[in-house]
Amino acid sequence: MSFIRTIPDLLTSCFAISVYSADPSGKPQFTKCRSPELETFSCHWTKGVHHGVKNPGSIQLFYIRRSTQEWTQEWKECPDYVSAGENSCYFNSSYTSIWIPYCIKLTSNGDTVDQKCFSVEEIVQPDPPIGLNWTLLNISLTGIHADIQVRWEPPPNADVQKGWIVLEYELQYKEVNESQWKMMDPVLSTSVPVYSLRLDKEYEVRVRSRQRNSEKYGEFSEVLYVALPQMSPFACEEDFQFPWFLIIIFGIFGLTMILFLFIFSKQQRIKMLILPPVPVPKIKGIDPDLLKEGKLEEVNTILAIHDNYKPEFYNDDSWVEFIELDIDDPDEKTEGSDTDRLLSNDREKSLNILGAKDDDSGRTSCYEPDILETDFNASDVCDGTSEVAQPQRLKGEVDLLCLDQKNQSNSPSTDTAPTTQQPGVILAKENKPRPLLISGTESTHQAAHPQLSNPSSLANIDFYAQVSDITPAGSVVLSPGQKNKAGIAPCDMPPEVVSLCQANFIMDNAYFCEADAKKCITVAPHVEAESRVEPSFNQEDIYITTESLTTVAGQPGTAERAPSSEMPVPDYTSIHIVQSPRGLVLNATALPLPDKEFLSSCGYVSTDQLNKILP
Amino acid sequence: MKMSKAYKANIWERKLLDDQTFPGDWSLLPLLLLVSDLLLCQSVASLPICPTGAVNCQVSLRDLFDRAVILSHYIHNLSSEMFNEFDKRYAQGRGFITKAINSCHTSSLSTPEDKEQAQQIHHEDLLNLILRVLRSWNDPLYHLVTEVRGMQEAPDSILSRAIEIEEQNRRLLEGMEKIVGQVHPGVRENEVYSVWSGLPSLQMADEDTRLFAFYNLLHCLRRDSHKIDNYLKLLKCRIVYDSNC
Repeated sequence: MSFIRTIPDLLTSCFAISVYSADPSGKPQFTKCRSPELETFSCHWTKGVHHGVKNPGSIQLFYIRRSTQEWTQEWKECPDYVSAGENSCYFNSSYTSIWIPYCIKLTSNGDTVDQKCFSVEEIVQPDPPIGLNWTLLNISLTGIHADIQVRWEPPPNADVQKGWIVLEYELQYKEVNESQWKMMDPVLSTSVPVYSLRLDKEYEVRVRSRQRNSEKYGEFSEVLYVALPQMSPFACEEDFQFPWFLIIIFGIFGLTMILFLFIFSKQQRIKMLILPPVPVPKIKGIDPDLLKEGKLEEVNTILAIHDNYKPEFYNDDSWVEFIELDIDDPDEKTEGSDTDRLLSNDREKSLNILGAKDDDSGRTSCYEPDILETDFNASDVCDGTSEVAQPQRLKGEVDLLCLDQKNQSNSPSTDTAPTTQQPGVILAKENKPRPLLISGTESTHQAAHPQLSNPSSLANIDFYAQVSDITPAGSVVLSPGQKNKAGIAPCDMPPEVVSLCQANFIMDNAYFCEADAKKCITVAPHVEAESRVEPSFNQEDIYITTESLTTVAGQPGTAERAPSSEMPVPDYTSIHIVQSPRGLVLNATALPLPDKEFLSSCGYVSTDQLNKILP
Repeated sequence: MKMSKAYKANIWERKLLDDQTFPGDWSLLPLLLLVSDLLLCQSVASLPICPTGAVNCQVSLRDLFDRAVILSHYIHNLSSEMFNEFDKRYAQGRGFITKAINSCHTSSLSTPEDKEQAQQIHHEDLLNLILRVLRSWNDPLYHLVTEVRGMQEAPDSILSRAIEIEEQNRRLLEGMEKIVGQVHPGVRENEVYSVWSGLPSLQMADEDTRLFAFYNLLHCLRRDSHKIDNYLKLLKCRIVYDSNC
């Protein structure tokens, strides 16, 4: 039953077959167990270092092997301590069983110092091959290289013939003065060719073997010296090296040429790909150059007519993007213009507007560059005559107008004083130069005079329709003075008169002939000077003819008569915007030129005609 | 020596019957042959290959043995790698070294344990023994695949090899039956094999026990595949090359 005792020992301290632990304690231990041919095996150990002990004692090896499901009862001692050398145990074929687990232990003075378990097929390491020789196969045409065939014999103790063990071999070779061996792949046969050896060098060859399926090689065979025949003197000196360098250079050159050709042929397209043109902002129908260099009138004309004409400047250029002016928005239209409000039927509203703080509706920009210069009160928000300022100015004017009315006795001359060069709306008292889009001159002066005779007659005073702004809706916003005349009810306005005229003239198409205007006037013949022109003009159309204004202004007296016949007011209005079916009605009598053309359609004047007239 | 003479007498007495035809399945072996050539670097001379479904395909005994040896060598390679992988991954530090205790289920089959015994045994008996061992491994291999699949974090390398071994084992069994049919036609022995009863231990809940059971099984597989490989090489040299490989 000793195996029962031994088995716990095995359980606790048996070593793995592949582990060769180095025990630094100096005890004897196994170094290697090896079977060269799968028929016998041997185990080796080291004696170990003993400190101060003279006789380390006898070292013994015991083995045990399992056979047929049962362990042999006893540990048996090594059968042969001699054949394998010192510190070894040799197991001949009768003691060797393949595929059977073995365990061995080393004892020193009876004490187990080392143990190991393994199977024989796991420890196979064949002997080195023998009988290496070589033969010359051929010599290269250049006479520099040669091939040889190396042959050898399997180790003698390996029974390869009967197929009991199958070996594979690995050949290594090197030049004599080199240090690194070149390895070839394992082969199963006992001869192998070695190619490309230089004729002027000497080589060394060695072979080792291992059992197929194993990992461990046996020892190397003896080194074989290969002395190749000397190079013939006619051999080429240098090897032919493939001119990789030249090929690369030419290849790059060719590719570069092709690339350049491609780029030059498709220059434009590549340019478009890399740097796509940025669309310049353009307003459809308007030439940007004209905006830069053109005259004011032309610009305004074009702006006015762009809706109608829309010249096809850039329609076929897809790169160009246009800014679309949205001029047909009714909302904007209603909000956009103070004039509208002023001319609206809602008189009270307009009153309120005048009196109230101006709101932001219709405020587009404070600046109209390069065109208008005005000096305003410090209280004014903007510098330009924009709609923004207009309510304020209106306010001021209204007050002034009221003042004027009140101070009728004040020198009327002062009214006209500042307006010599730029006849404009009243505010003469304040000496404000009225910014005008045009300047008509000579006649104005005279025209102003009789008008000013009645300071209360606002209409008479104002000869020019200053177009100060264009609402988004497309209506012309006239200067505050006109507006005043048009529909403001500054001081005391007979509402009845206003409403009467309003009713008559509420129409969409709001340009009037004098006759129509006269009707309104006649309705209220007794309207005082301060009566304003009723907001009979539909707010949709905010252009007012000067003539209408003068007539409608309700002069009970003078200027109302026969406007076509007499020329009380040599005023003229330049038309900046011509809109069909709308248009500004001119006071044709004021114009020096024959007026047949102009009176053709009730005072509708085209731009061209106007340009002829004006200097 | 005596035995070898007797053996020689025997072998010349027998007549090698005509080659049998091959099933289509066995003709897939050429593909494996190519793979094996790459693996084993064995320069096998051009072997006649039977196209699938050919009726009168004749493969010589030499070719049969060559292919069988290639298969057995392949199986042994796979099982060695599988065992090493398992040992490295799971068995380190677990004290599985006590494989000395383990017993394989095929130990009950009395197989030759060294060269002398192998040389003495009659090749028919040896063939039958090989068949028995191969059959004995059918069931364990099948369960091995199943259980490895169910293992926690089953490494793909082990699983793929297990699957491959199982398939190749079946093929080798077929091939061996063909060889037996050629070498020893007529009497067909009863299908003897040793039963494997290690399935419960493979399915134990205790991880240590289970891993040890795997270790044991893989170790036995490696050993038995080496045994079969050796026997077949011996037989090939003996039968085909007349002991002169």
